[in-house]
Amino acid sequence: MEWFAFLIYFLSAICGALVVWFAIKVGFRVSAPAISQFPESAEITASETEPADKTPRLYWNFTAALIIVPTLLLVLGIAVRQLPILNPVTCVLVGALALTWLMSLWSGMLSFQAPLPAEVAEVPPELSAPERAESEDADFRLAEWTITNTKEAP
Amino acid sequence: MIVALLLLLVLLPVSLYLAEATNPPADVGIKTRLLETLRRIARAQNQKQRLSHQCLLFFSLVCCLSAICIVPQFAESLSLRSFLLIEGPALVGGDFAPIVLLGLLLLLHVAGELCLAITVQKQDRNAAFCLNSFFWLPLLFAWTAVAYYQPVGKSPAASGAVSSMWLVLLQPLGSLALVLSLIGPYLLITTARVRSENPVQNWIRELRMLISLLIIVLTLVGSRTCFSASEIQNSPVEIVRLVMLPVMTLILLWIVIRSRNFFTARGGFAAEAFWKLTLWLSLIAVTASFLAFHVLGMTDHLMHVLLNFSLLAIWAGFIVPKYPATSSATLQE
Repeated sequence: MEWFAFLIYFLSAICGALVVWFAIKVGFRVSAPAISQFPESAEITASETEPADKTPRLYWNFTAALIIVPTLLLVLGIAVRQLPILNPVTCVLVGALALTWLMSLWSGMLSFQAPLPAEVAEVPPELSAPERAESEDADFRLAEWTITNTKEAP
Repeated sequence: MIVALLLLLVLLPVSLYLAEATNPPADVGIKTRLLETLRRIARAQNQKQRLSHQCLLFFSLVCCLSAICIVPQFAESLSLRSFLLIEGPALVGGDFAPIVLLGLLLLLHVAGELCLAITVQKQDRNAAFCLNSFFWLPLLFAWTAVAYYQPVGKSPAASGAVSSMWLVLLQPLGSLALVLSLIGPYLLITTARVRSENPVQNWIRELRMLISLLIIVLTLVGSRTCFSASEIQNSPVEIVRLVMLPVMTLILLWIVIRSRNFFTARGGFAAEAFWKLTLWLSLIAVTASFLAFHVLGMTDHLMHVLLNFSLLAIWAGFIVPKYPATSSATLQE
């Protein structure tokens, strides 16, 4: 396996993804002003003190695009997964993994916030009896997906 | 190529049928219903639209079709005699064919989903989530975590351990992350309270859901892992595995439709919390794969299972309880 060729393919894939991302940002800025003006990570952590903010808080794509690079390094590391831990290649991979965790933690992607009460207030339309039984049944099967308190509810 | 055409012939009617399942017409036969759906889609495409939206929809459809073309080759690269059969460029046909093809399929999935989300972002608030790395970042991590277990080279990567376990048992963290990040955006958009009713977009979305189900089944159930012995052929395990493929596809399809109905009745789910849940899960999965192969150097497949299930328990204990599950209680009252 030509690792140099693999590296070139991956780097060109990254560049292509960045170009597409940039084209989307620029080409659709007029039609979507709300998305291109989402706050950066620093502003997100600053605005966490105000729970009254009801707009959906999303994360700037550039951090996510940066996270791609160490993750692809980890994918390249699959070929050398039998090397010992003290090998410099493995040390670089450990650094890439730590960098991924640090970037996603620092940009606030992994921090939960308290659910807004305004979202809960919207009551869905009332169900008929068989539909309710069906939803309870599906709820039981989907217990791994969602932790719900259907059974405990009065 | 013939397999791809057959796949297309199966997937197209099913996706057309599913696309109109939400607003069924009067009681007519399946054939009339499919023709009616086709007519509706053609009419909606002919209506006055922006040219950029039409191009994006077309590109999204092209992504679906090229994924259908790649799926048979992916299945072939995962089968036992892959290294003798596959002809192609060195990268796609070589030792790393399963990893590269899986990455290519996921890339096509992401590209199609992004194009679709751009066309509906004005009407649908949830589509904006998809544009903000809502689903492709967990997908990337899940791909990395799963790729460690794909067969690389002719010999088993971890010499000393031979097992024909499914990937879904060997690496449950990465498998769950892959399933959630592939199906999650579909559920998010189709179960929203206010959703656009463009038949073209609905149809493309259903088609992509079916393709992602195929990817899930092929990767998690139908594939060898790096622990499989490459000289075993036609063993009972392989035959059982081949039989399980369509059965698992149908079971997964049933689960997805049931959960779609369930979340539609509940009025959608909390998208942002779900995204963070999936992101935590996929990051833990990447770390588990990395630890298992690089740091601990494990050659025992049962140790992989143990590590993954303990990490899964930690995830379910610490992260999942933060998911807001209050709307279900509201429903009961």
